[in-house]
Amino acid sequence: MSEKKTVDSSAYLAGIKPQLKDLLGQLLNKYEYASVLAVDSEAKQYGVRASGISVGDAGLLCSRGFVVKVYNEGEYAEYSFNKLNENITSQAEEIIRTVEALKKAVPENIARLKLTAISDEPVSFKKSTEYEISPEQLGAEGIIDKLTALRKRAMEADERILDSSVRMSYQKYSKLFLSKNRDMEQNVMWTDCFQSFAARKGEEVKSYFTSASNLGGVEVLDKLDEKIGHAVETTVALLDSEPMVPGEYDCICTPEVTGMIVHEAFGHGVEMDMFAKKRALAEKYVGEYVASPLVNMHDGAAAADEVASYFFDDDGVLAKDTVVIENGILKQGISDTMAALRLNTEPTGNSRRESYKRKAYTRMTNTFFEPGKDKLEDMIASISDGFMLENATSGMEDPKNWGIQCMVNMAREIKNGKLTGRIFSPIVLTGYVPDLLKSISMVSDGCELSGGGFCGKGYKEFVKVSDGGPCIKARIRLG
Amino acid sequence: MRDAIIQSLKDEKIDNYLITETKKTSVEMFFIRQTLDMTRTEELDEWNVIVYHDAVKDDRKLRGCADCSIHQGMTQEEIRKAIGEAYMAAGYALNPYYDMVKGEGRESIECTSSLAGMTLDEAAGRMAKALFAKDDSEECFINSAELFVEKKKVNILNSAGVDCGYDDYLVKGEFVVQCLEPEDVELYQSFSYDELDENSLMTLVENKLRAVADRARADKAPAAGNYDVLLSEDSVREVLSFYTQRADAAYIYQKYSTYGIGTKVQGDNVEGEKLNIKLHSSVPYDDMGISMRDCGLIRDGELRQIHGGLRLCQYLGVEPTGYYNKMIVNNGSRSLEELKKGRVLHVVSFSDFNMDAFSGHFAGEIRLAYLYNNGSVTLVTGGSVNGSLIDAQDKLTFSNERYDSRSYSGPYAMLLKDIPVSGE
Repeated sequence: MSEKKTVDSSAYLAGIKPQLKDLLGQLLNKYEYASVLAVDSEAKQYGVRASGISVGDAGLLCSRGFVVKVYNEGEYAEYSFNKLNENITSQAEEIIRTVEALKKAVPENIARLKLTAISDEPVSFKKSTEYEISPEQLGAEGIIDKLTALRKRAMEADERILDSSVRMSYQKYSKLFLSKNRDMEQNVMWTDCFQSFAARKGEEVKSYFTSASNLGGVEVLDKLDEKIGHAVETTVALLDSEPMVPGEYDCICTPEVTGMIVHEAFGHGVEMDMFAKKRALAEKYVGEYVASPLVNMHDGAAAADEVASYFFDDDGVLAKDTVVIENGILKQGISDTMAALRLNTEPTGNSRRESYKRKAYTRMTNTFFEPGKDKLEDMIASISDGFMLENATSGMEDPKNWGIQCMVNMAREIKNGKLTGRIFSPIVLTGYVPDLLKSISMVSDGCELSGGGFCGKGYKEFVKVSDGGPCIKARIRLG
Repeated sequence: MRDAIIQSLKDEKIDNYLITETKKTSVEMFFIRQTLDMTRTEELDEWNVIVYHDAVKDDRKLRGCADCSIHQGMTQEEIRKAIGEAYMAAGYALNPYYDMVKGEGRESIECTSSLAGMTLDEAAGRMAKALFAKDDSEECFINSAELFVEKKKVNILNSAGVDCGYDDYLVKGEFVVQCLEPEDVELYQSFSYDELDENSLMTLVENKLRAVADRARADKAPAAGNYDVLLSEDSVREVLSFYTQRADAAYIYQKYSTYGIGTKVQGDNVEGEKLNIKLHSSVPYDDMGISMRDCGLIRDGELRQIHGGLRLCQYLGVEPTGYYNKMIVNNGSRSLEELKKGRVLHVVSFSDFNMDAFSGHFAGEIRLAYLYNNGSVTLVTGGSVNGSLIDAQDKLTFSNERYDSRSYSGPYAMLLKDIPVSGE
């Protein structure tokens, strides 16, 4: 293992900090509360696939800009921009003029939500995460060489593999949060990588994927290599998969499927901006059993070292480790600053923006179930007729009614305590969230988090998250 | 900024490049019930540069490319460094050679949208009024909503003579409708218009308020089994996206799709209706500067054109079409009422609905469906649809009623035969 280094500060943000403080000061002359979040984010993506090699900036993740939040007479407004003028006074005037004009454009019959001002207790620090190997150190050539080797290994492993594409991305960002009493800086880097495998049978293309992620640098690439053998074997096996016979079964969820259930089926339901809109059933169940006593669930940027770890959120609240479910009882939700103001609760450090251009919502970070004490082999042996679910592909939240919609790539049949080798694909998980969580009867002793993907709020506002946990045994409706 | 970028390209001796400037202004309103939660404004001027790195290896002409964002506030030296590093990275991403889009002189297309004739604030105010115009019930109402009115001005310049620009206006957003009785339920709906289309938004809200009232009365999942499944509105576009993806040069080049010109995409023996699909772009140029023209993709079930971007279309030896954002599909032959005859499950709302163009499978959990059974109608919720379009595509039937959105214009509904449904 290489020596750990800390992520550098942004020279750009350091250079313009006096101007940002000037801007903040001028806004505070007009508003009761004002804050400035400044972001300087470098992000690149590298890919090797059948269509060729690609390299470049990673879209939304690569940005430099600012968002101002202002408050007067109970009302909040925001202004996002990416050009800091030399004349800060005229820019402050333009921001004020624009913000006030838009407020006036709202139809008169629409009421105005009145909230208290954000608590602005003094906090000041500068913190950075660590990494072993930076993307610059390995360089574009080194990264592409590694990805090319991973692809070659997959393609050569079995002639039935039609394609294997590999990509790696990283984001190294610096954020500066300034308010009247807060002056915080954080410098964070995460890296993730992803490999997909495809094989054809007639007109149907079956696929499988693996991923790895870390709060750190390109050292994560080594983790993909060890997964290739299983992935190739499974992709080929999927060619002979059968359609699922709809029904309710005893199932074992692998850690990434557990993660999808934690995140999609339950995590979205405890986002407290949904409480504020009366859109989440969970609000009525705080203090009650919502899961088996074997279940303990966490969310928080400070709960794990993964891709969604940070020191303060996008409204300047310090990161936390929130215990959401303790021994099956729903303890509390997670909250952004504005939702906490509406609900008169404490924010939990979950205000997150897709970028400085977007509004902050309550968003998950690193979300997972704690490990239990069971051994996976005992869990398989305990099932007489059921499935092991593997390779989570997508899910959608339903906070209002706690309906489950999760898709997994495949289910491995278990008969009389043994995996039979039969595979069913694709699989839709449905049902009622508390029914599933209360049916959890065994929890394995391992815990794996993966942060290969992004999470949307509905169909937009994508932020980096990780999720996972142990293997769980539960009763699940499959289709 | 443009001069600083061009100077940096010269300093780095980079001959082949593409520069894009996107100026965007967006005004945003967020509502909880009929109460303003927050307003936001976005004011951006963003620049992106793609550099092309040419090389010859083993007598093969190669070209690599890499893009980099040029941020406001960068010094000349920082711009030069970013572009230089991108050029170096492009040298490690070499692919078979392809040409850039060629152009001659400046072409700029002004937007004719009704949105261009007013301020964004005014447009947002009028659409906000339309959003709540039909929201007048205490039982079924808009729970929350988000409204965005955007103006974009895009300029594209490349080293092969392309110098084009256009304006693009957009109203988009989403709302959640809620019904309290007999069960407290909600439905999500997004919207997107090129015009100040107050009437369409009012109609959409009215329809969704009606649907959520039905959702509140639906209390059981359908019995598990195979059904003739009727899909409507955006779900039709989602299923038909299978064909546009399989006809994409990227899918064909990578052998994920076996389509070629003349392929009978629904098979040789089509018992149902044959597909007729065109592709359209709402903006006049794609990101590479390709001038966009409608693409006659599929006629009478036969693939007539492959579509896609610059590089992979050239590798396949077909004309690059650029990337489209709208599918236009011919009318079907049957009325919606005819399609509901027999035993038909009409799913009007999924919690999420996905078409996997790799496997041909489509799936989603049912939020609200109407089960028609020879004249009787039952409301159902829960369970899921999990079907294969490859198995069902020879027996498709479409409605002659139409549905329009920014990304789709075509039959309101399609009927798929004998689809597996999980349920009670």
